[in-house]
Amino acid sequence: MASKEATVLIVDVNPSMRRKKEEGGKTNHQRAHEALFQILHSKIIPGRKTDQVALLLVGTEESDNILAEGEQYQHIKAYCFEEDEAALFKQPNLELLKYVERGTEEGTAIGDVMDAIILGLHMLEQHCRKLKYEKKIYVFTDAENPVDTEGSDAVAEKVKELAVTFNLIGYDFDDPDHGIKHEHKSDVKAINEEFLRGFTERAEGNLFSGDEASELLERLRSKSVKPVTVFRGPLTLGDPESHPAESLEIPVWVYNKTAEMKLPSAKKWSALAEAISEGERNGATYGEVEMQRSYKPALGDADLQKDQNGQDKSISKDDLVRAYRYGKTLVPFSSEDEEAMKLRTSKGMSILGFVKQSEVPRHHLMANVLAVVPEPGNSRAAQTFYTLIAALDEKQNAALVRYVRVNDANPKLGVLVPARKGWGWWAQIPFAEDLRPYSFAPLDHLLAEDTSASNSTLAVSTLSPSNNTQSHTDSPASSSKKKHKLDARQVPADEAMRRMDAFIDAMDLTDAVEDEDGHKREAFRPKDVFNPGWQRIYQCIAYRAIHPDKAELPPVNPQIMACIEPIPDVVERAKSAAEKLKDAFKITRVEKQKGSGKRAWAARSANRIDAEEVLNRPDNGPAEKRIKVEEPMPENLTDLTARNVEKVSTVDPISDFNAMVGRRDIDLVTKAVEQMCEVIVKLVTESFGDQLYDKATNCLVVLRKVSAENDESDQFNNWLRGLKHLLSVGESVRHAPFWRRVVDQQISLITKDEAGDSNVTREEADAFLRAEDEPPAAISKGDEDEVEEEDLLDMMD
Amino acid sequence: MSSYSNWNTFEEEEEEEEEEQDASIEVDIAERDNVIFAVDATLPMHETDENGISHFSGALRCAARFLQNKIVQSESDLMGLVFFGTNESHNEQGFKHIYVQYDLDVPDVDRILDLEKLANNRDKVSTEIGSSDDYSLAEVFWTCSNLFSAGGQKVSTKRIFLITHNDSPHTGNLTLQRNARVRAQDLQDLGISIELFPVEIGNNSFKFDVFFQDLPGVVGAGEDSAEVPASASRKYEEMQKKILRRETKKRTTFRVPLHLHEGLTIGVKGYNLVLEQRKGNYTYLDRRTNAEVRTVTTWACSATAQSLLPTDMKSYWVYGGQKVVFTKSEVNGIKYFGDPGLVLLGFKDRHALKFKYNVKHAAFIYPDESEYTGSTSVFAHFLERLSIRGKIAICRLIARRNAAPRLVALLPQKGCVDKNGDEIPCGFHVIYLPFEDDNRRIPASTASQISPEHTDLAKEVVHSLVIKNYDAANYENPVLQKHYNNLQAIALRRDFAEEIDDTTLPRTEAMHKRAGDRIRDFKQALGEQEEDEVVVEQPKTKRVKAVDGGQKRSKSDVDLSESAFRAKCKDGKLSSFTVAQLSEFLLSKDRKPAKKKSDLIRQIEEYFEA
Repeated sequence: MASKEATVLIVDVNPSMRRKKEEGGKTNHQRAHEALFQILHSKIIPGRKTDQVALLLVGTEESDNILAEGEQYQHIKAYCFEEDEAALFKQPNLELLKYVERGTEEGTAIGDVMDAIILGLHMLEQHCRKLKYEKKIYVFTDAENPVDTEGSDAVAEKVKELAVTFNLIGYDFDDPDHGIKHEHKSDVKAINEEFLRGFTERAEGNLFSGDEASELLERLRSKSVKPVTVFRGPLTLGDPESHPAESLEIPVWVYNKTAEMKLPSAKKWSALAEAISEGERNGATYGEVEMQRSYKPALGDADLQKDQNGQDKSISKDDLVRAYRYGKTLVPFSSEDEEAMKLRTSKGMSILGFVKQSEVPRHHLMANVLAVVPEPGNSRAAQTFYTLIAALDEKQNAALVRYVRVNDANPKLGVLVPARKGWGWWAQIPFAEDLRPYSFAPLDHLLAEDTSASNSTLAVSTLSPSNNTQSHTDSPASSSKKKHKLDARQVPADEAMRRMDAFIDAMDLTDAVEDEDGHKREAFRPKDVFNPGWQRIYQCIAYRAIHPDKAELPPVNPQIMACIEPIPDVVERAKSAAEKLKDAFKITRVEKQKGSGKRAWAARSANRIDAEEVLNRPDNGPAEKRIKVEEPMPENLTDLTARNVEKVSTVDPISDFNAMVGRRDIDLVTKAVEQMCEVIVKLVTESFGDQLYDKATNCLVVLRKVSAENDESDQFNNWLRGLKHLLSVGESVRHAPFWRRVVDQQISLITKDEAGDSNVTREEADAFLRAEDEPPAAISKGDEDEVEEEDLLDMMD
Repeated sequence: MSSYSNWNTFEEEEEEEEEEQDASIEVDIAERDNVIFAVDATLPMHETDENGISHFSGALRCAARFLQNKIVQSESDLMGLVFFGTNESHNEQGFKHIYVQYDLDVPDVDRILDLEKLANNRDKVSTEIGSSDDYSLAEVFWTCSNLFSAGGQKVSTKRIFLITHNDSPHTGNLTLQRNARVRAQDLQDLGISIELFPVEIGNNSFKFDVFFQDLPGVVGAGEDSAEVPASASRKYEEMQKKILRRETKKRTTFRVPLHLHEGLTIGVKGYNLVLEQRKGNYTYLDRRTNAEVRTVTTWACSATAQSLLPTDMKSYWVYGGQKVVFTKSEVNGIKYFGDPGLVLLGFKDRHALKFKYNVKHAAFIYPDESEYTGSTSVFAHFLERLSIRGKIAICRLIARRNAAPRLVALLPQKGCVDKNGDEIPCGFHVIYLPFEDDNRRIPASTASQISPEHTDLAKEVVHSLVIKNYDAANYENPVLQKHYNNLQAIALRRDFAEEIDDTTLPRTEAMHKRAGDRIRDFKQALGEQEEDEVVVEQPKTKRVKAVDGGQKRSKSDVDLSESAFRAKCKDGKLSSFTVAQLSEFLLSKDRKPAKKKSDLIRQIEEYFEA
């Protein structure tokens, strides 16, 4: 709860304020009203009832104020609030803001600013009595008009006595701090300025020049939040109940040090209500939207959801019970039960132990930071707390602290680290459940001079002289250094590093900006940057509120944007370094494919080279063992079936075989056929009796079909001859019955008619099945790919 | 938003929205864990251990416990159960003495209950399934691999938990032993691993090197023979250590360009490496039928009572007592600060990133080649130099369309393996910096002198209570653990939920043992000096304020007990409490206090009526 505020705004509206300047710029009257507007705007945003203002205009023709009598306090007009004319102070509303935006009034008389100050003090005294108020006076004046200085010392004393913060904004005043001196002043102004400067000093107030004030106020300050404790309770070390002498129990107060200021959320407005004619609008309901919730069965026929009258069946809220998923099951868990069974905790901050500050990774801070201070007024608590914090600071330790805000609140785990002034900062850190151990491929090898290392095998195999007539031969140097697929570097490694360093140096922010005193300082300190979203939203709201008839929104205030844009000087300074850095790498923008939304993404991702995928892929590792990190959504069903199998297993050989043959990324047909041959031999020779013959036969049928379709007939035919031989001699003769099945099912050599790459005639194929075994020599017709008996036997081991 | 329940639903809506955004771009197919328990059912397994539980039952309990963990962690993982050395046979291949109890399936409540029944009913098991030594381990493997391939999970790990007492199966039968080896090799080729759970019966130790050490695919087998599997009972214990952690799928939260300079842009993807894990969403059921209920939200115009389509609605904010209305597209226009992206503003030293500069959990970025090829290469060098030079990058981040811009610091993270053996990925942590608006001022606190002697004593205390090998993964969220246990108890129709081991509670006994003396010394030293001046001033707070016509009362004079509230409520005099007191009371009853005093009073009245 913030304390009450009462602010007196005194504006000089004497004719002198409206004097035009040569440049045709704004008059002091306009500038004063702009500043006034910002003050009111910043009070209207939080909209606190206890933050109230009074507005006094000096120099009006009429005199309307509580002290005006006879010759006293003339030409001062107090703003009169519509709803309560007698009130001295009121919460500022839109009417007042609009009035100020219009420039209030153009005074025609001459009023005394000092009179207004005395009047303001009187009003504050009357309004605030002895209650606790934050009292402020702002005076906007050019001091061009006579000021009665009599008794000003007493007034200044009164300002201090009432503890009023006095602010004087003097237009065209000298500003010695910035070396600004206005020449050609009127004598009156020179005297008044001198007097007001002295008065402000005696009243321990602040004096701003008009320029300073504009600058300060244009930077819209967000609502200032009064510090409130979020926790008052014990910080304990050990168990004070069982070991009072051997434990610490320090009463502490905890504040938010940071708290993300959320943008104000909009409420819903009914556009349909706008059709109601103005006279019939009811202020309370006009435009309001009511949310209605109803509950319907989630499943079942549409008919079942209707009752006898065809109305939708609704379930009353009282009949609802919450349920959580436990595996596939939804477990009803009423909120009463949940409440009754929940974890019981007791309020407090308890230290679990101490860790090195460096052991808590910076990115583990989960939320806003809290400030922990010893209970005010308790010197014992202060001493114990500060000493403990000092010990932590010297040892560079942090305390691991469990924090329970109120009894039975969810406990949080956090670290308490030493902060300045002996305070502690506390920030929540993750529980085990909050950690997400995602894995990412390392990037280090892209830094090496030669990034080809991991691809060396590939490079060698493509260069193997399988074809001697290959005409184009790359120079050995370039061909042996095939770069990693993701290596986009165009210059040697150390050169790239140097250019990166130069860029980093050029874009340094440590001394990038100058403060008011000309000292260099760090740019983009959090304390210098205001939330642009928040500023923008209220700029638009205020604009629309004052100009409801204007359809367009005001342009973004460039000052708002500037605080989150790169600093032009810095960008310029880094230009050449950035150019050089850019040339060191080959970066290409990927052409966007047409389409939008998820579909377009899916299409893109199907084609993209994913860094993680490429980096994670071992060059020759079996597919099954690879950890696939990110599988893009399959584009269609073919993708789903084309899984990355690289080996035909004995468990489900047909699926594996089909998958390998069906792969679109690499051609594995030959490999698949070879492996399938091996598997069939294995199945047959290891079968207990005829147990696996069926499986092997099925494989054989598939193998034959695929071989015929994929120009692998020769390989198949040779292998089948070998199989026939194998099953007719030696140890494997006991599996001869398998061959009889082959004959029975007429699975023979692939003929010329079936596949172009075969030279076997239909007759030869038939003869092959009929004939008893031929000697191996007859099988091979000088073909290099022949399958030897030894090979087949080797496969069995 | 007059009552607590309404407030509640509002907040949930917002949370859901956020979650949805998080889930937006991509969802990965998670790696699934498929496990088959292959349990030896030969006679020695039915002998009881010192606790009177048979080894066979122990294995089943372990399996049940495994399922209970799985059901919370990852609902899509599969589990199967095969007995071998049984008298009866039940499997697709027609192998003798192998009994497939469960095919691979996702964990569910019925299976857990069934398993527990099985574990507790020895007679039924031994009579219905029986025992026989005449099995073939090769066929056991064959059966398992068939179950795996029927399970059909493509991206998965496949494990067989082999629970047996027999360290030398098929002694003397070289053919069977050879077959077993061949099959094991097959399994290994398929990426199926075998985890051995050696059961030690009586004083017979399980000799790993007799047979299993040479079996391919067995975890711990092969050249590196130093690693002998822990005994089954030890392994059970490990499994009993319940860590209920819902596994999360890897997903990006944003995918944006990173503009380093004009014309120098690369692509990055953002992830959340830390994020508060919650209970998970609840669904409403109809209390009477336990049928799932869906919530239908509609909107109505208060003035005309017409129902509203989304296109019929605009937005308003209250400003200076008036409603200021904007259309949806105007609202988007107000929120638009540029396209999504990270814009580099410059670099600072690492120490410029102070501890207090934190408002929310960090994100993590990693290069993305999909928009800009070459991104990974540039990113790697960028990361390397900033990391080596101890620098951070300051950027402006607009994470999504129409998201509010934030100032962030990119904190370089080189990939490594930390001392706890966890992999630390390489990339940048994205730390959200506070704006000036997010920064709060802290009132000055009581000053106090501290002496170096006292500090030294305090350092002793700190030193003796240092947590060795601190790791965030050692601290589970007790609220979630309790919630899962409660759910489990209700789902499995138990009377009581299991107690949790709350690792976030201080181990006070151990602390006193280690540091009690030192804490006492520290306290005494402080006490001696202050003997005379332990005066606790009454803090001047606004709580000390005038109530009831100027009669001043301090907070301590006001009776804030529940009975006092009840009495005042009865007399209709609740308004004599301050808003803060009323709020405090409601908070202590776990009710979310309203803002207005009148609402607070009504809330308390409702509380006492209930």
